Amino acid sequence: MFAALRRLRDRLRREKLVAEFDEEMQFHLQEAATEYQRRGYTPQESLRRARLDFGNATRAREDLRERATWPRVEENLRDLRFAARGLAKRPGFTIGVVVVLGLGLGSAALVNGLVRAVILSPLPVPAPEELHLVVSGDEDRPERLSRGSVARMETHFAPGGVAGYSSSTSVIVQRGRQAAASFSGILVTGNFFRTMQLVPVAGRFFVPADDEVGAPAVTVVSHAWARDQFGSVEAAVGQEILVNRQQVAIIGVLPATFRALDVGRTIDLWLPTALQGPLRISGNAWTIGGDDRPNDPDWNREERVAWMNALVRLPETARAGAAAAAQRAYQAQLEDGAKAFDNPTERAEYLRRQVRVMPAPAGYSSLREGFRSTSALLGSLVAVILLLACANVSGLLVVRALARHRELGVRLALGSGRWRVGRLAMAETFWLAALGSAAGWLVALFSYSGACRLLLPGREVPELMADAGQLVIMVALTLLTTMVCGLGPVALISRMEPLEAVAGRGGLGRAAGRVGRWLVAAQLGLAVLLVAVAYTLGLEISRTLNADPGFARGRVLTTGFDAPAAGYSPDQYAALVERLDVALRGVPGVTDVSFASTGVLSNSRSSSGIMPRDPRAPGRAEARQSDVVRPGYFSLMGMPLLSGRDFSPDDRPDSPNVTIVNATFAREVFGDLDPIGQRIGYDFTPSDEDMTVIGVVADAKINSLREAPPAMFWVSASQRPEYSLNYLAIRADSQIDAVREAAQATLARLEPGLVFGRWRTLDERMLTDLGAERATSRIASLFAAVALVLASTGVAASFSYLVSIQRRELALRLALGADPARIRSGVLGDAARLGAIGGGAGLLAAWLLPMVPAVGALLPEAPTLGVCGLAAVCGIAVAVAASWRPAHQAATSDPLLLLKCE
Amino acid sequence: MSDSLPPLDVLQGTLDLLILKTLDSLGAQHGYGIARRIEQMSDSVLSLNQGTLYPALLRLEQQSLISSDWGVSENNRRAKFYSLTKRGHVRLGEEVGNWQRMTTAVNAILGATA
Repeated sequence: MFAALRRLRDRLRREKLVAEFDEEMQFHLQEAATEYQRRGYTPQESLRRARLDFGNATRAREDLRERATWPRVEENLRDLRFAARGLAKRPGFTIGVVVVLGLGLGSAALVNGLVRAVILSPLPVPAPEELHLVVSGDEDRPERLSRGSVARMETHFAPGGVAGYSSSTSVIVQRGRQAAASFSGILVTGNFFRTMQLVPVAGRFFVPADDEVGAPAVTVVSHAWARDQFGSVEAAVGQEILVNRQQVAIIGVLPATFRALDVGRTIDLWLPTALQGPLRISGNAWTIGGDDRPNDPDWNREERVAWMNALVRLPETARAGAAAAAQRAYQAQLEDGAKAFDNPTERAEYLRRQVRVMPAPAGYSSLREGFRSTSALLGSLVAVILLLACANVSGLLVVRALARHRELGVRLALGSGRWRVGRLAMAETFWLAALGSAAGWLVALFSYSGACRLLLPGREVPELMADAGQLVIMVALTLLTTMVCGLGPVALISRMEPLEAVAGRGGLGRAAGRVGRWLVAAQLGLAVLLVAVAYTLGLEISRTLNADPGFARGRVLTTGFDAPAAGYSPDQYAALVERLDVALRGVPGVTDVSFASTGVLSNSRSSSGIMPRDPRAPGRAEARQSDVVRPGYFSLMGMPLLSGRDFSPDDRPDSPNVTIVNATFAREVFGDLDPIGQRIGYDFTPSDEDMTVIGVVADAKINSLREAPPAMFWVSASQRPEYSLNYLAIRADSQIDAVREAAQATLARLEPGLVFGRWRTLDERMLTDLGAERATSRIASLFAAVALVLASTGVAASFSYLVSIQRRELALRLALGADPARIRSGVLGDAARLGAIGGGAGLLAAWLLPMVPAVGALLPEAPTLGVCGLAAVCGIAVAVAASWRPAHQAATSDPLLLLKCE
Repeated sequence: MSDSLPPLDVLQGTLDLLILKTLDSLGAQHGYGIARRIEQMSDSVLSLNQGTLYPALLRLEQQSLISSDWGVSENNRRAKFYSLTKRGHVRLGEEVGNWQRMTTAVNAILGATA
């Protein structure tokens, strides 16, 4: 190793070494001559004898020069220089191949960059490998913990070792006299930033004293938010702002690199958990209600409200026993929660819950879970595209090797080894792969943000296209591509007969033609496969969008708002909703208005444990999804009532509780019993809170178009005025955009402190719901188009070559009076046969593909035989179209000119 | 003996051993000095094509067995002096052992009676 490095060093100073040798030689000759003179020789004779003793100086110098080289490296460099000159002389060919490889390698680089950014990139904190997530015993999902559990973990682990945090939530911020605006916020424990080992760029982070109930309200803000709002991070520190109508002081600013725990999100305001109560933040929580006592509205003091997740920092030495410590901290939450269960079976089941710690250097992201299947599908498509590009380039290189058969034959005939000639071909392939890789990297770099917008709308995914990891991947891809693309030409050269090649007969017999045809057929097969997959994805999305979702999709405008965050107390909710209702009904074009708590396609859901009271009912106590709605909601949303009646304003808080269920709920809970008049309740035993079913509505895809309608029940807002209704829906007669603008203006005037989300029709919500699938389908279509273009290039190049090597035969046939039309149809027929072989292979692959379990899971449905057939026909059409020009050339060539050329 | 028989060429592969041994005996020495010493010590039995010494010196230097430094000779001429490194000492010991085993084996074969 060291000898090799020294040789490299000597190679770099070779001329100096030779000069030193000359000096040493002069010294040597002078010393020897002096010795001979001492013995009595004349100076001339002494010098002659000294030179004679020294031997051949030129040979010695050359030997020395040879020692100061890196023979293999220098040979390879010479090959690379030669290959570069060869490619520079054929810019058309070089650019064509670089474009083909650039498409394949660019797609691979892009998907790799996205996967690294979304799935693999660790949190931007020191030593992220020490971070562990507290997860539920049998799943890799974060376990919901009470604030008490997190506090106990803080005592069980090392100080500054536990970071507790809530789900992200919306907060309404008002600064001075500016209009209130909604921003993202999160509640974190006082030790959160210490555990993350972050350093503020301005001000300070929380200390445990900031996270005590009654402490002055403070917040730490994101770098971007501080700059947007105050111009600089320094200016933000010390500012007082209103958060959910409470005065809060900004004490610190986060580094720009740390934006959130979830990939692609940015949390603007980081607040201590102690502010949950004062700021009325009631986001994602898992609540257990019991008859033994009411829950404390301050979640910091309530074991039965699990609303936090915890990241624990565990150095390698502290990992043993961490799971047991987490379980000990969790136990009190379990034992207190269990007291709320009346049913002994449920209580025992609840007490068996366990937590453990799981390495989580990247934290936890729901996006990551969803993106895994998308990225696996895209990765598979990219692999196919890359394989296709390699097959294409390999075919082009084979054609090029055949076109150079005389030159290669001469080289082989003159004694150049096959390995040496093959290495030259590899050097050329390496250049093409390296240039293709550079072009692909540029393509990926410039298309990265567009791909993120398409695949991950609303997320700011970090860009990891220019880091060392990406460089390693690009180098690996370059070498892999070189190997794959270079194998074909090298295999052919290894079989080349030098004398045959020199004589101009290709020197390869029919082997080259066969290899070329198989490569083209393989390309067509892969293209057909991609067309079938892309068409299936598009077809499935189109069918899902066109299927009846169970609600009226047109002319219903929806939005969300958060009354508690805007400072409204529960006793004000009903009056607020009434004011909004009246004002919106006055907007021209609005024909109906209604409200719900979670609504339709809102990414929000709530559920409660429900028990049927009729002993004949087959349904058991189970959590069922629920919503709180105003009377008239179902008719506005176009959810038909199958039996019974709708809620009415006469269903008051003091009248018997009523509920409406959907068909799935009725079937699952009541079986064959008539659901109307059935009673259900939250408690294990009947109570005054029980509800009577008064109606059954048809099923609808409430949560997602991909999700089967849930078994669901609705309660009337007229009976539960204390519930906050956060989902607003209006029906417009026409001119949706005008109604949207007028409604927005009306509400802004009426309730300036209330911040509304985006106004979207249900159609728009459906498109958003399928956003990732639509993006994947679009990208798959793009890949399929690229695949067809690549395959057509391969067909065109292959047939051009076949026509060129058959030109003597063609010339003779034309000279002997052959019909040009027959020659044309002969070439086209040959292309059609090749297309049929490729199409057939692609059809078979597309049909069999879903049977591979790993692939089948990625596709929403298997390509039908019809779709596969259509894709195969597409492949044949491409083959025929791409061979049209070579066929035309073959049929319209001047026979005399061709024969003269020969 | 040296007057009556022609000198022998240095055996292939033994030049490195001779250079190392010379530097071990003489300490730092220039190329000419090494060549002279090999011829003298062999009583002019070994004839060295002196020019071949320099590529061999570079090879040994690349293997870190010797190191070189410019200095001034006894005749007040600028010359490159070579000296043995620690690694060179170790290698010399190994090479001497190998050589002795080899000569013992060859002598045993040559001295054997039918």
